[in-house]
Amino acid sequence: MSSSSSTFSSETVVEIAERPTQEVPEREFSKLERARIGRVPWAAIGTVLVIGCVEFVLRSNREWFADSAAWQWQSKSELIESGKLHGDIAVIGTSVLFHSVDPAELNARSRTERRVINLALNGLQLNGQYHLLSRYLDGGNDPEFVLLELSRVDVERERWISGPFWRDWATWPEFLSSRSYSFEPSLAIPFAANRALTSFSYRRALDNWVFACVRSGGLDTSYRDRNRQITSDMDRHLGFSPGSFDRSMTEADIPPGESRPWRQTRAGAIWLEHILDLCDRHGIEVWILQPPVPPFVAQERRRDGFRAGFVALVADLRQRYPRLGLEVLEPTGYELADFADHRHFSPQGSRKLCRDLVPWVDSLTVH
Amino acid sequence: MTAHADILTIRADFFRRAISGLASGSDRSDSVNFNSATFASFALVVGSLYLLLQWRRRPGAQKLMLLGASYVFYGAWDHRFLILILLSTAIDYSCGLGLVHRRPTRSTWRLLLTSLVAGSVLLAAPIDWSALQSLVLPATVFSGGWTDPVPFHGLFLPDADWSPLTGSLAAILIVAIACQVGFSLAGTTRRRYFLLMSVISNLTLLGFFKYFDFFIEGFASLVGADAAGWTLGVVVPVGISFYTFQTLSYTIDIYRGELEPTDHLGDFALFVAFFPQLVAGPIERARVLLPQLQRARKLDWENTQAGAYLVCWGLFKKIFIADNLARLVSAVYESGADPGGPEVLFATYAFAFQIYCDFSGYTDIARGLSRMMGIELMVNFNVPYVATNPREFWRRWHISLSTWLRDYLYVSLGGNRGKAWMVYRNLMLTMVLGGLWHGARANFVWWGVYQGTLLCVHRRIEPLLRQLEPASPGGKRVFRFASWFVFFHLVCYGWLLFRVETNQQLWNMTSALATGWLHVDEHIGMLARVAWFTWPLIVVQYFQVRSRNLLAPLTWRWSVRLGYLVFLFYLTSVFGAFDVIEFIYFQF
Repeated sequence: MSSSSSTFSSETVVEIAERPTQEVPEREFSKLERARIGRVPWAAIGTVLVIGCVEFVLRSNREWFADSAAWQWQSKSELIESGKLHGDIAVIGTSVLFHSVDPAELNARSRTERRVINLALNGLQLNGQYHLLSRYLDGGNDPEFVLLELSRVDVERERWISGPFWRDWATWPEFLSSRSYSFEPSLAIPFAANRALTSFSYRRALDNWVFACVRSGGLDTSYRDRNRQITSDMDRHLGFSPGSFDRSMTEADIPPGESRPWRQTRAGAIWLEHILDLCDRHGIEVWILQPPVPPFVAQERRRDGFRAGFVALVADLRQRYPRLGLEVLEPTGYELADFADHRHFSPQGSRKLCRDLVPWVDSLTVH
Repeated sequence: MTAHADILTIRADFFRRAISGLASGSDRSDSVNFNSATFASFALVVGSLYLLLQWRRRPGAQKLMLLGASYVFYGAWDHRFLILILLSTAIDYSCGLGLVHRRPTRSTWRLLLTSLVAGSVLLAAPIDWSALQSLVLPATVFSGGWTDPVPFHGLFLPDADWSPLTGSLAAILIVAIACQVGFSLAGTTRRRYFLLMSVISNLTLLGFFKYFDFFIEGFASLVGADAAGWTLGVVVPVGISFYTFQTLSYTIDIYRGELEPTDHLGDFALFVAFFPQLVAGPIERARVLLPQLQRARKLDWENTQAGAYLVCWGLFKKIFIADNLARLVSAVYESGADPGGPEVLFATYAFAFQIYCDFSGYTDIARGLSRMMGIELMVNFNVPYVATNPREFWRRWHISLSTWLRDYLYVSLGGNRGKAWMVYRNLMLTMVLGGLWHGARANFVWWGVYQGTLLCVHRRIEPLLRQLEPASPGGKRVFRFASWFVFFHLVCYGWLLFRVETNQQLWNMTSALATGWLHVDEHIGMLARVAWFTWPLIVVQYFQVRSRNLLAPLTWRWSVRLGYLVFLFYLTSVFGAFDVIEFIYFQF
């Protein structure tokens, strides 16, 4: 701390400290900071152009590195646009139904001509479900029935702004329809950044891919192969993807007791109403599927009064939407081995659910 | 005795209630984080308005806009603490004038008091802002369902607590009376009075909000009493240490005759609250910053580009280096497990770079933003980890604080004058208080003691080191490298003292350093991660040191600069940690 300084900065500071007047030290510190800057910022202009080109290349080759969740969204979007998901019964929901309801199996087992398709996706909250269904209907599809997964009426902000829907798939009108600008206008910046910069939107996937390339000593093709498999599976299975839930739960996997009360928020209720209004406008009958849960979750739900909340909501909806039907489908008799975790089905459970849905498909008549 | 204790309990209870709003439920928003989308929106709006007013040649309006923006910026963290900045501004503005036998004009005095009272009512009264919002805003604002309208039952919250308002009104009254008493004095008495008033009031604010609980707990543990009934659980207002030191330097400089006070209340208020450096420095001197705020600012292309580069480099240091390293550091320092020596060492390396990049990143962004507005802030870091001894380190690390401590504390204590033991005492006291400046925790005191000891020991052995230094260029290089290597590890041990939270953890970490070295290969991955996140910094700093130019990349030819900028961009975009992690120095 002594003042016999030898470095530039301290000399500068001492020099200023010794000034008796109030004169502005014109760029005193610039002795430590010298820049050679021309009139035209070629480096900055060049940087923007190079970034633009790199982003274009990345955008066109997302298949090489995209994470599976984002690629499933991409594949579903392409399937809808190409008309390959035309069907009479649309299943919509989250990863629970996406990885368990296989329309190809259902259609093969069913005695009717009705075609089931799967619109469910990973992390598809109620707002995403509404937008996906809107796009599906706008694309000239006219299903007679919608099977809607309903185990919570909620749109979580954090899940919304981190999922693939936000990252790559939602359009600006869809973003604005969230009305987030009313309370958090700055969300427009990450939303725009996700659209403008593929490297930012797919940053975790790129991070993984780059290190996979480093490890393999060349261009890693494993992600591309996996993504091609996803596209092929979803194409063959009408929107269904098997996912990675390949083993059954055992008693040892049961997590310690958690509270699982019925969740219903205002944002969730608003988006559920949007979905039902949309179905009402298109004359679609809506069935509500309360997906089966492992016995330990059922026990927790009984303790936490989950059912009362669900029943009250359905009763209210039936009153407000008398034309939609809103019958509830609640398959029962599932064991622990039918699940991979507290929500998702194991392959065994997935097959069981499909079998359980066949009689329902066969029994459907338009009201 | 019992009655006395009761009175003290009642007083503690009053203070607890008076700051109850400040102590609990203080929901830190990310608004003050330079790496948040909220701040990006804020900067866009302020920058556009600034340019517009520059173009219309309205420097006065520009300053007013900057002042408003600075208050909004600070208030976004917690609006209630704005009253502290207003109070600090009023006190030091009046003291500054009082020190040179002037006083605020009648209209300025009226404006000052009105602003303080109105500010207190708006900021400290228990107004039900949520219900007011619901009343004023159209229903469509709430139609996204993200937040629920709050029913309006009256202007004030039910079961309202008025003590924060009464507390701040009482403070205003005391300040107003104290100023009037001071203005009636003459000669040297008046100068001393206003200096004391400024020092006492600033240190009282700082001491109360930052150290009250710490000293009460320390005292209670000393006498074996329970501190629970006495501590207030105060939340430290963000940046209080920075703006308090800044305003203190203003009055001390006037007292020393090195600075003329300003008559313009707005200019002074902006000097105190200027948003880029308000919450984490650099701690600017009035003689440098105030004149730049007073005159009309010129925007030029060179400053704009250099400023933009500083902002980008600062964001890179924060998002790519500091926040990624934060995870490695937390994994060891917050795991609760017993780490081995290699883990502690590598995590401490990571923390050394984390704290440097976090803090210097903030400073770079602050300096870059100011520079783009035509305002130059001081250099706060000058490649500190190339230092080979503690004295050099403190000339390169947090320069605005170290020079502040030197000019206002070390020199006031006697500095280098007097006998050797007095110089060592001065060094030690300065560093201990410097450590305590960082916060009310024992480890900051240990850190200060440690830094003071390093400075004293170095001062003592410096002649010996000079003798030991070989004469040949090769020998000099080896000696310099060895000095750097040893001192870098001494600095790192200082960061270990800084990072731990309890004395027990300090002991555990220190003793762990001697264990686990037989299995060092198991932790090489961690060292590789530290190296991955720090190598771009090391490369850039190599060029900075070689050219003695902190803006070395801006002297490279444009094609090299292009490659460099694209590289920085993709390192940040792909590998950056975008979860908004608060800057470490915000807590100080």
